[in-house]
Amino acid sequence: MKKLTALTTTALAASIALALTGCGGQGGSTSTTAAADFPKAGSTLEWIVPGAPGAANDTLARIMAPAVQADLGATVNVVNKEGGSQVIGLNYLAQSKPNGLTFGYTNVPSILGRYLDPSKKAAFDRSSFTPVGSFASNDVIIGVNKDSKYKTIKELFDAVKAEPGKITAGTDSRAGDDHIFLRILEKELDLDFNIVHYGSGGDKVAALVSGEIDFAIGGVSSFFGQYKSGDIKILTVIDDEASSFLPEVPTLESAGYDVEPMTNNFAVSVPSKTPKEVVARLESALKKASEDPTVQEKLKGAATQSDWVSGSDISALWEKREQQMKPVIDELLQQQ
Amino acid sequence: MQNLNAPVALEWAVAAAATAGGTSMAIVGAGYGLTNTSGVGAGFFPTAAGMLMALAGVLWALQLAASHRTSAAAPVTGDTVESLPPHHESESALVALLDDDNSEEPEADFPDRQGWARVGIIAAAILLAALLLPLLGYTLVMTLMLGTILFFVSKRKLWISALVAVGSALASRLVFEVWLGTALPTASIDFLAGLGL
Amino acid sequence: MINIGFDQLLGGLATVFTPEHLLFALLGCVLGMLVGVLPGFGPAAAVSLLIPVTFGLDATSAIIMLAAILYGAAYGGTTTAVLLRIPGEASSIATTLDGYQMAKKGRGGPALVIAALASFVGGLIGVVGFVVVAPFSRLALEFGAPELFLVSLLGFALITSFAGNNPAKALLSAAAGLAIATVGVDSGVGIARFTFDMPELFDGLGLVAVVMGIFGLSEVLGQAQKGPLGVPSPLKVARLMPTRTDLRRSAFPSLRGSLIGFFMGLLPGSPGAATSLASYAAEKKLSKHRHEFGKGAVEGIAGPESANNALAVSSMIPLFTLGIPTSATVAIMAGAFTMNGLIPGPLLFRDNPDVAWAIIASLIVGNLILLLLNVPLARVWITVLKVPFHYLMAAILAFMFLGTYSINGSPFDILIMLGAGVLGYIFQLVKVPLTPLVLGLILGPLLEENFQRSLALSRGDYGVFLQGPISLTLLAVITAAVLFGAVRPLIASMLKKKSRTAIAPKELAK
Repeated sequence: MKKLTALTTTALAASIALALTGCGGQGGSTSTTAAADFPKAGSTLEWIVPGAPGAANDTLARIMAPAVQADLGATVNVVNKEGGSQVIGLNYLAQSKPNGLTFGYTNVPSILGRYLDPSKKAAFDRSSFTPVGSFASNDVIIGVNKDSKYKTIKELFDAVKAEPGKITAGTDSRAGDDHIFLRILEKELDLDFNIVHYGSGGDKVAALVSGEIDFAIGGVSSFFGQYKSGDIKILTVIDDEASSFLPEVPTLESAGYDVEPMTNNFAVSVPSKTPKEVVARLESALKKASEDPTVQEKLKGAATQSDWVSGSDISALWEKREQQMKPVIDELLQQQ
Repeated sequence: MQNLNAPVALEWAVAAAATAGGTSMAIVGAGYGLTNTSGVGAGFFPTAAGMLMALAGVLWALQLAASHRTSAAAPVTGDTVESLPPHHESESALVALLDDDNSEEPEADFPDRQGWARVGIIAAAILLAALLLPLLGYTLVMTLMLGTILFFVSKRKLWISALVAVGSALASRLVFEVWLGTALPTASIDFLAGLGL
Repeated sequence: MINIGFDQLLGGLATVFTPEHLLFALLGCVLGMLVGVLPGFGPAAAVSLLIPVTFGLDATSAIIMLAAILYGAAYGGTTTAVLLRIPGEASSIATTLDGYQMAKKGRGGPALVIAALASFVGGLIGVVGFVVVAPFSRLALEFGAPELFLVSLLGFALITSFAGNNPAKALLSAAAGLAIATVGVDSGVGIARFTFDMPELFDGLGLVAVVMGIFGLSEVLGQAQKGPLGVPSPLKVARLMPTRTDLRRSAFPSLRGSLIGFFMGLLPGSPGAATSLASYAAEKKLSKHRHEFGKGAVEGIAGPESANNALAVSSMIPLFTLGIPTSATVAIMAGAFTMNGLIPGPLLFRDNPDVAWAIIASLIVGNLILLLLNVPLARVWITVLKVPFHYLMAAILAFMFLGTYSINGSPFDILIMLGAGVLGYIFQLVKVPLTPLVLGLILGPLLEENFQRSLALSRGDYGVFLQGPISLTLLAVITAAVLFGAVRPLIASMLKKKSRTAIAPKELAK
């Protein structure tokens, strides 16, 4: 049974513009390579988001999807598979058919926390995936309330040193990225936070704005609106280079703390047995979409840095981060 | 216990299950740790919920035992509260505010043997359909489930059941895949997948 | 300072009243309603599913359309709640209680129309409240973890309203709900509880799947047991429009429901399902027709439905004024803002005031369209009830099977739905009330997480629950409610005896 495209719906919804770009893209990009028959016209691709609709991951996928769709000339559906702190969605991706029609997020380094921790029962590891590329990155920052007495990261960390376990730090979920990042900071810098878990990124930011917690960690995009409006202050960027969104905010490195960059790459992968030509076709579509000016502007609006990293580079980065973080995560697990 | 009829037996069974389930839940829950460095541990709430459930089961069993003793001959249920007097509009507003009339329960008829069979067939059909979904794919599973229910429970003619089942399965798949753009599972058996199921 | 006032709202209305924007609002309502009718597709799922439809539109049109989809889907869920006892999403649970009973009596038409009217009232009051309250929305953040714990605890007092006449059975039901809610990875320590090493269970059992089973499937099983024809005759469809009495009886419940919903929507977490149940409980307490509740009282629809919609509007306030999404549904709207190049938050009013006010105004317009659409459409929906049961039953089962599958795209949720359905069926046979279970399921995680979070914040100091005027007020209210609940039956029976021995009401008043 051939699936008709969802374009019929879209046309029905008076969004003729999309139909036009959809067809236009199909005509323009079909090159005569070995992958010319991928994707077959009218086929449907699934972009697996291992999280809830509305999360940063999800929003970016939905910004990118129309541009990828235009280049591939096939429908790209964003599909949310939430649960088990991403493990449900990643399991699904790892076990899907390696035909290129199913691809999804394998963000580096955040995916490491999902499979290096055996209690999460992940049915995948690095070898389960072939990275297609990474289209954007999100710097990890530390933010405080606008009236916080801590003006610099040094003041904050000194206060933590003075009273171990007293300063409260908020995360968006237990065992999520925020939590792992905080534990890494604790270990690398010999600190002891009082870590408090919230139910979502929104709840965490609310707690920071109301002053319920002393500081919060997370991707810059989740704090950007409140930072711009002056409700929160950002003390540091956990990277070697300043964030282009926050040029005035010092990096953790420049403040004198030696920690590996935590910047998260929005990497996309397919199951590892996917044919090379198919991966290449997806990679070119993803790259082209990431260079689309409309997409870039929207990514910028979402306070996400659009920078393209090729599949092979992201693969190397993944391996490097895994080597760095495995001992850290192993040690953290033993402490529990 | 000579007067034990089916509804009362079921009440006893549920009360016993609640007591046993609640107790074991409380025990397992306590194993998750009742305390923690800051306040309560992971086991606190499961233990509390389990204990409440067990308590409810015991209370219910006591009610059943009491009503069994008082009215051994009449068919009894666990509802010891006699029917409330009808409300009079003339009753003072204060009484109305204070008195909670909670007679919202629907009157449930107890199923006969055939009734149990019908319920069992529906439950089994859904169970099998859910389990076989990844293997046989949506179209086949939905057809089988609907066909079974229409034929055995709704007592339709075989050909009508089959026709309606196939029609609904195809139509719903069309709605989901074409209209909503949501993929439904396909068969993981190669032969069936080759047929587009 | 941000300009928030009725002038801006009128300006927004002017922007919305262009044929183009109205068209997209209408389209959104229709699409949302059609998708929302499918069980498992609540407002959040409907919006995320239909986002691609809005690509290519300008930002204002896109957001107007998505907001309309949100309302349309919420109303779609109400439709199935009334007609089939399948709450399409958690917040229409309260509507099933009396809506379905009305439909069973052939009053499905009035039930649907009242629901549409109450939703409109809720939306209207929500938007007016938006303008009034938005400048002070920061105050809602004063409700931190300890306060939210106390609010949830207060919510448990609602159980008495749904308890039926046997306290032991109500306790069993509530405890079962609490027990189900503890499945999953504990939020405080991170221990997997009752998960049997299945990642599907790490986040607990899905609320919508459980609720669809408990209410929807149990009802189908209960009817199927009676024979191939189920209920004796196909439900007759009497009058379509509500009577004058219906309208009169719905007026105050709608207003009260709107207020309850509006304030609950401002709180972090904005628990929609608990709020509409709270409104239902309030109406039951206050109504002169209390004995009709659970048997088809219009108040039981008007209250929750208006609460629902007022909450949907007011939960947007923190997003507009602070950029903070307080619920999963609002998070999706936040995502939609970002996708359209708008940064949600106070800067929206500074940088794109026209867009912001057009969206706020469109919330009224969307609700109006929904109302105009649904009065005639109620006739169409009602025809569902004319389908003979032997076919309707199969259709409902197929519907629920598909719906639960599509919540997460996993057959696992179907098994949960089935389990919940069988449990609900057995509970009905032995006359255990079902609503306490759902209430326990909703409030359990709120209680536990906020309790653990509070203690984590205070590092184990229980004094955290006694700090601040809000906590103390809430504690006082809870104490009063518990005491009142304990002595109430006593006083009631005393008063009853007195009034039976013919004491004039006059003397009581003294």
